[in-house]
Amino acid sequence: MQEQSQTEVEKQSIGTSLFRVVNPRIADIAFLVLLVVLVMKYNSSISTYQVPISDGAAYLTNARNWLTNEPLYQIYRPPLISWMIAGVWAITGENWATVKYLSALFGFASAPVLYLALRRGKGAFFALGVVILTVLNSEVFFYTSQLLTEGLSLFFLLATLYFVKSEKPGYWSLAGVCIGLTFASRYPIALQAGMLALVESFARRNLRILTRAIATAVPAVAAVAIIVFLKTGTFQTALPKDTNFTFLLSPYYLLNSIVAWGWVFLLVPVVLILRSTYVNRYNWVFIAWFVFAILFWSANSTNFDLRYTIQFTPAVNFLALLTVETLARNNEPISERIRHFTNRVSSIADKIPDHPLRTCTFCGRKLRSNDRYCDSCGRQMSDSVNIMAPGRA
Amino acid sequence: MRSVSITVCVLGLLLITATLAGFEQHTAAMAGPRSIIYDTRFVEAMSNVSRLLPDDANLVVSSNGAIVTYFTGHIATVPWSATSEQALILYMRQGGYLFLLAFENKTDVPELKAVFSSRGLKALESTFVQLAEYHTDFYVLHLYQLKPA
Repeated sequence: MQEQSQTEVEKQSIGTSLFRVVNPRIADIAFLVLLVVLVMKYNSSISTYQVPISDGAAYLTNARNWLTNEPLYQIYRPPLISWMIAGVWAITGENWATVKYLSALFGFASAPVLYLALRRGKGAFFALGVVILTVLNSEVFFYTSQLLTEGLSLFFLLATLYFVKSEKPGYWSLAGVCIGLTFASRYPIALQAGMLALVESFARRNLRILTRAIATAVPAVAAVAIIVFLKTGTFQTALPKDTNFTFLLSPYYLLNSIVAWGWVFLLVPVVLILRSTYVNRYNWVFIAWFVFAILFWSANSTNFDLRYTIQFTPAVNFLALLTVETLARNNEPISERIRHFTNRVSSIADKIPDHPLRTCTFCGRKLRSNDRYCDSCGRQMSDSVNIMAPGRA
Repeated sequence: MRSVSITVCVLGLLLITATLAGFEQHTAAMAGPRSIIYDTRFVEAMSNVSRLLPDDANLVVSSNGAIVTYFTGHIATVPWSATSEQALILYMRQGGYLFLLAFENKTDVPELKAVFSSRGLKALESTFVQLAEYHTDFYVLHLYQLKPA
């Protein structure tokens, strides 16, 4: 009953939003125009490329090695793009010019996938806004136009989002396949894809989304790892120097946030303090996606690059537009929301006890809430011991 | 208070506009106009280099190892551990490399900047024989063979 009423509230809040006022067909037409512009932009850029970027050349050499059954040039490179190049060359013969549009094809295809994924839940105009900000992001556009894994991984990640957001159980299995393909296209991005399935499953209180996704993702990931292992005799996902992680998070991505995502990034912190952002469970996956990805890349102590932001740029743009949508709805003044937020934080702080909460069931010694062992008798405490939180006694 | 919401909303729309307005300029700046990806004569130069190399030869390059590897079909290694001309020569002798492809005034190893400068390359001629020199749109490439010790 409570769940039902919450869903109604969510639908109502979305239904009154600014972005729903505009006729969806206008947004659809604008989206088609955007696709045409995008094709022209990609074509005008890629046609000027005479030589692949350095990493792209490594994928080309790996593709040649897969095709000619020679040892791989760089064994830590994810294999999917090289497999695709090898597949094209098996038909056309080796020529880098025949595959230089390959990554852009996936970058371009990411636009309709993102649009369709968001259109269902947030409306056509909102979806259009997120897609425009994403595909016309310099990092996204430039690197997906190069022969790199950015376009592929973005496409499969967004396909994962599309499938986990679906109501059809069969699509949840396809989400797992897409997680596997994300892994094959760019190893670390599979973590973001897995996060989408996990959080969406939690947000919708539907464990079947996660279990179905895992059921197909695990064989897909295993197949990729086994094929690479059989080819190289090992399975390496990155250079050892690039895999140093630390709890001391780097501020690199925050300091360069305007460069990476543009001025819209300034709207993201605003939406994160608004209560309505968290009330609507539809948003959870985007919040988790952004937070997880930025923490993951910031935790790397040696390897920083703005192109690592490409895959979670849709989440940033979603949150930025959500700010505008929420404020445009304007049924709760911002000062009210900030007051509500600070009250909530204060109430949580008030609940943190500064005195012992429970007692050891064996010796009776008073313990704090986070004590796992009794200081006196040394026995392990379970969560069920004599909890005496204020207000509950 | 309603006006605060409207103000922030309008500000948000302005930020979105500013973001999109910067797209062209920012994208153009990502690869400079003299980036290797726009070099129309580079692939031809690589074909010429590969013709001069024996089939099984690997080579040392000052820069763009992966690109040289793909277009020449010979594994090209950047000497990351070398920090001087002597160290470079030692690196090549110990690794069994006979050929060096130098991009004039361009190297990925900061310590070898002087070695691959125009003046530094002239000094290499006591230890190397220059086999060929190629001019592309943005680079001058020198192919050297290491003299016997």
